[in-house]
Amino acid sequence: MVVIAVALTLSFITFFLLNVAIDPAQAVAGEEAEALEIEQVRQQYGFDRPILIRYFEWFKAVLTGDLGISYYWNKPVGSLLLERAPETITLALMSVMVTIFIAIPLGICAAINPNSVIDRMCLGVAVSFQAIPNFWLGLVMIIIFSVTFPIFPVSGDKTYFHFILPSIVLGASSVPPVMRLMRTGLLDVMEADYIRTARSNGFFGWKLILNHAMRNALLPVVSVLAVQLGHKFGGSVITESVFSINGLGRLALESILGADIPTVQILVFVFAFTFLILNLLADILNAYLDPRLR
Amino acid sequence: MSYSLIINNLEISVKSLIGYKKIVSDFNLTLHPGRKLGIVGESGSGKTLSMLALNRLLPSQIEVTGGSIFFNNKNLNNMEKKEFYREFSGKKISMIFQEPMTALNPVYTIGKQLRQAFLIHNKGISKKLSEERARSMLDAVKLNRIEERMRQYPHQLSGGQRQRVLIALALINEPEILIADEPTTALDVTVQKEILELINELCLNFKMSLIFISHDLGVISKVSDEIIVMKDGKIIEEGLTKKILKSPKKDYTLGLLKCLWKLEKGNPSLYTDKEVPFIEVKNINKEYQLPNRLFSKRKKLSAVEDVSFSVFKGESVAIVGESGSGKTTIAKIINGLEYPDSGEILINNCPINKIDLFERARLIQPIFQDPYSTLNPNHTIGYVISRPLIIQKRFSSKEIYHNAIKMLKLVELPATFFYRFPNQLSGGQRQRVSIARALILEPQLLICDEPTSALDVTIQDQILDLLENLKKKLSITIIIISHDISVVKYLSKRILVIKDGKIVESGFTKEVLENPQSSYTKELLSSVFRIFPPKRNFIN
Amino acid sequence: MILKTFIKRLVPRVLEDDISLLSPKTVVLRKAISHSGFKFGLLLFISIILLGILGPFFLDISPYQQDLDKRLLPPVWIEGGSWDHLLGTDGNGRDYLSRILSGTRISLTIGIGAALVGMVIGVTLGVIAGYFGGWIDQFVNYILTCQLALPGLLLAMTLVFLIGPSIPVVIIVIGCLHWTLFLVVTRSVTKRIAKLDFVSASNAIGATKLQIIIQDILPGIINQIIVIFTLEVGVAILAEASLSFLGVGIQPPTPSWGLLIAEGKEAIFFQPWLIVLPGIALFLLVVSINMLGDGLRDIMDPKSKLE
Repeated sequence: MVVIAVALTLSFITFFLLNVAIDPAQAVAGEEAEALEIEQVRQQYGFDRPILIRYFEWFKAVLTGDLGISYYWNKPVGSLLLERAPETITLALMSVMVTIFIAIPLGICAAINPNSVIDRMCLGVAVSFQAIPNFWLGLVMIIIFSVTFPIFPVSGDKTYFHFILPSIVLGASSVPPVMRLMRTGLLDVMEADYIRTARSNGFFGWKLILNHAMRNALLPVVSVLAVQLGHKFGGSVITESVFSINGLGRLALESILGADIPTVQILVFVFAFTFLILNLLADILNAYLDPRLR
Repeated sequence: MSYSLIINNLEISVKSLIGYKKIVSDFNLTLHPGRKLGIVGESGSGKTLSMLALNRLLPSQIEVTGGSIFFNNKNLNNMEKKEFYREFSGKKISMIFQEPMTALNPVYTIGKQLRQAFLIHNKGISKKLSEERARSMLDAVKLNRIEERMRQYPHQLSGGQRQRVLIALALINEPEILIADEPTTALDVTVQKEILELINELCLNFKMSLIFISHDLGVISKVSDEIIVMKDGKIIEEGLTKKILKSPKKDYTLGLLKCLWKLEKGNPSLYTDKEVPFIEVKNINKEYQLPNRLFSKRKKLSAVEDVSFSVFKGESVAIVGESGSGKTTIAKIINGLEYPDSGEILINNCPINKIDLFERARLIQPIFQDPYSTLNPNHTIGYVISRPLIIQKRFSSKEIYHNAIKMLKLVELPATFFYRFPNQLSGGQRQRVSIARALILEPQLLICDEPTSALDVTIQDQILDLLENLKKKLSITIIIISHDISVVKYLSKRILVIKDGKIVESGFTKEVLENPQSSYTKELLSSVFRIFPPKRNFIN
Repeated sequence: MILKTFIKRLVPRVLEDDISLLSPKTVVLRKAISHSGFKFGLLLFISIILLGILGPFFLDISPYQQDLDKRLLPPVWIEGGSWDHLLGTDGNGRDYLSRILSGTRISLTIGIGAALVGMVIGVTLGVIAGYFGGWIDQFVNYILTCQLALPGLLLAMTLVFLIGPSIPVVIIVIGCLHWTLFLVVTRSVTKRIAKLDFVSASNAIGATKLQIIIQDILPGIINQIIVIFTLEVGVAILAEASLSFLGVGIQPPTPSWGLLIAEGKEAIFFQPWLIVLPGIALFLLVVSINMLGDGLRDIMDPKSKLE
């Protein structure tokens, strides 16, 4: 229910923002168009009617599967999305894999030996990855792994091999929060009363962590991973433009620069909706893991 | 099988920047099969730490720095960590803890936790056998509907049931020694009694010896043959329970006992003014909505149901009930901090919601239970005490300062505390400050919500004395709310017993206690472990 | 002599039981002095600020002055570099050191400005939701879900592009999209404090809601706000750099670091330092700010102890 309500609100907000901030008729007609020409476009497309009516018409069309026509690409927005979506989905999923495989083991190692060398190193990694801008990391990776040592291709999206560098770059930005959460989560759990109970029953070492601590410590991590995966879709703009991947992010950038309102509108909505669905999935998974939430 | 546990000169220290600081020293203990030993002491006396050390459960900054622990001539201190966990934890020595609400893993079923605890010391046992074992343990701790319990999660059980599960968990590998660390402190008195009886019975059935830690001499006297009294990390006195309760050798133990005896004697000097009804509570009701769960409907909880009573000027009335009985809600409603769903409260014949904030503040003031959250940590004591006057906006800053200093003196605190912060004070001192804050407006009614239940026995005694003196000096009306009948007896003339939001009994304290009418009051009274003063009176 | 006694007073040599006799401020101060990450971050941050603000005064080359004869000069340590242009020049022959140094000011202005905007929005909503609870809390929660679901960068790009890029616009847009952390934390801390007995006590002495919020609740959340503010400055700086990099933030010729990297992208194969150098500047600034923030979090957390 909340998901639907939020999605509706968001669709309205983006529609409103985009149609007020810019004159859609001007955008269709082009920058050099004369006043008369603009007026013509305005009437032809119905931009002179009140915004609420236009919103409802747009919304009705979207519900029937008609996402509108891109001014910039002169194509239906729906087919544009279908064309570009696979690249972004591949990128997002691969980068979350990267995050999981780096952040969770590091977080566990750091939590098992608090204040040790490993812990300090993990903290160092977290602090510096948080400070590295994504696009710069991408460019530096290209300089190192494609220009100086040509191992990976500079750009493109033809094979999965092309996706390795971009996934690492995109995944790296989520490593610090997930790792920190894993670490503090596990540390907190290890201080909990029920861990003391388990200890007094004779559990120790890995058995203690796997049998008693892990599931509790993973609960917050699941939620954060969902949020991060949601951000990957929105955050793909930068990575896709650095590595010239023809996905939704690049489509968004090009549409924005081309003032292509129908496309941007749908994209913002799609990204928001994906995020909401992912969060819902995380809630359900958490309820499965934690009986108290059922 | 015969065995013995001998602890010699155990020393425990906390690690800090410049080295070690001893927090327990010269701790000696000898335990033989089938014996029951009680360790009593106030918070910070080291009673829990020394037992955690025995079980290798000390927090990370705290270490054993000396002495030895022998179990059958085997020195546990020198033993490898792994060997200890494998051979002793849960198998020879088991422990149960104070907080049953958090001591079970929230994400696994009761059955699974029991099975795992059994498997850890009995590798390769079939699932069926281990389940069988778990069931028989739940039966041994007298839980009903065992099949259902096996599949339940901890949050679906009550506090008493969880403590039973924890005991089952501790005993599943048939240890020789059970250490119980305040296992009943977080429970209601009626449940406390059942759990203590269960522990006594299980010790016999399982042929275990018991080490029972508590701050409460009354509880200890029920479960132990011998007592160790600890203070500030040292053993003050030890001996047979009967002997110590009758004729303690050390002043400290005598002091502890005196507090209990005094409560037992009651307070003869309760007096009242002419009986003018000061506050009238008429048919108040209050419901709470429970928070939403993901897949369940909203539920309502009725906290107070049709409660009426009145309090006369200068009188002291006690409201007694167990946790969740709605006593705190009643206090908040009388204080105007919560609104009843129906019914009304009259103060001097005026409905409380018609009285303006400032006026109400000069009529009624509360004192709360938790000394650690009752004072804003960001304000100095001086500001905390003078703030009521500042908010009333009718006093010059000089007046305010003098008044605040006067209040500090009234609650027997030095004037230098004016510039201190709450974190620099002990629990008892904080409670004094909160009394000073409540009294600076010279209110006519003081509502004390469990004013002493978070404090150590000796401190509790001092605060009760202070309240008693203030009552005499200022002829103030007091409503005292407590789960502890002995506290109430000492301070109140009349008593209301409530259960599930309803008044089940009311009357003069003496009559209610000597001749209770309702079955619930009888049950409450029989659950309190009283320690009677010996014939030869120590008090005077 | 006075200095010496002052330092002596601050040096952490107290034992556990003595800490209980210190005032809260002294405890925070002592923790700050013994926290190495915090000290390092502070030192780095102050030196970057000094370089960024005072630096341009000592350089006589303007960041905008073009010299087409001296285009794409390498830094001094690479062959062909000269001491006239310590970090070389860009594609239009402008001095790179001077451009990077003046980029500091832009990053800091936008970072601090945007974090302030976010703080005002987030803290206001958070305190209101946490203190009043009920349907107000649910409404704020609804706004929060909406905000979280929106693709922030995409929306920022669109808005800045449509309204027209300028520093104030970038500040407001980034600020309006970065308040969720403030809200979440202030709301939960406010909820916790509002349940404590001292708030009930304030109620009982006749304090108004506003007095309770200002005197009882704000002092309790101020520490967390400072920590989040610091961390959000870092986040906002990175957001600005991303926008400028994509061409929808600060516009040329203003020397924003993101923009410098975007301009350097053309020369990725032959003059990689054009990309690497502003990136390092960005990295150092954000690292110093994050270390400050992490340090502050440790210092102000009442649970953490003096080590």
